[in-house]
Amino acid sequence: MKNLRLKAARAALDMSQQQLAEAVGVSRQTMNAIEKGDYNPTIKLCRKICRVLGKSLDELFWEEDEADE
Amino acid sequence: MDSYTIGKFCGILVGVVIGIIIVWIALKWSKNDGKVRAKYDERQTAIRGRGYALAFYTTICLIAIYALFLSEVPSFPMMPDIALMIIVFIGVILHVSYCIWNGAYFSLNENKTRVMICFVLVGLLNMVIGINNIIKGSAFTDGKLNIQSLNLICGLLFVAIFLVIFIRKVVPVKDEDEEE
Repeated sequence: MKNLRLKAARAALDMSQQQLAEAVGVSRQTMNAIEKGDYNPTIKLCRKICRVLGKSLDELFWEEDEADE
Repeated sequence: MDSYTIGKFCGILVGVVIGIIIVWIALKWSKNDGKVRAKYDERQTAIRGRGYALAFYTTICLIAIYALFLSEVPSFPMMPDIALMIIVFIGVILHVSYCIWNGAYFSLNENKTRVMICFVLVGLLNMVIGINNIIKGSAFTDGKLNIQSLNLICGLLFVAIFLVIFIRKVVPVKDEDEEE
């Protein structure tokens, strides 16, 4: 499932995938895979992304559907 | 030990030492941060692991096929040493191709242009030596490829790597290349 909230948070800061990837220390392809939902990042990487984008883990990575299950 | 054997041993030793120094310099030069060690992110590390597994099992299967069915075939067009080296190279190209295709070949601290320069130099050098061996006829023993053809095979390996990099750049992969 695509992570549209991550994409929106990045766009709100006017950052490209490359810039966000460099800020968190991963490759652009990895950042793209996370946004597309092709790769599930570790909690360590999620926290780094949240720190750079100024968001909480819940805001970027929590899925309401999963919580209901 | 006679003087010829000592001389041969010293020559090999000097060659190995010079080879290690050249590889060390090339590894350091190809990194943006001047370090020898390559840095990969967590997804790249996982992909590379899958690439290693793929290459490992393919190599095992090919060695088994060669040992069971091909090694005793008189008309098989290569000597056993070069046949095994070709199997190793097939494993290498599989790993490299898988990593390139999934964006996990070049590390985070690697300068792609410098890596490509190193590849061109090594590939060309091996191609020239390999073609020279073919022209001289030293790459064949009784009409079969021998270990002298290793340079040509190595040169072809680099051609294959360039081809994969080129195809990966030209062929769009769904949802992969967009920069939004």
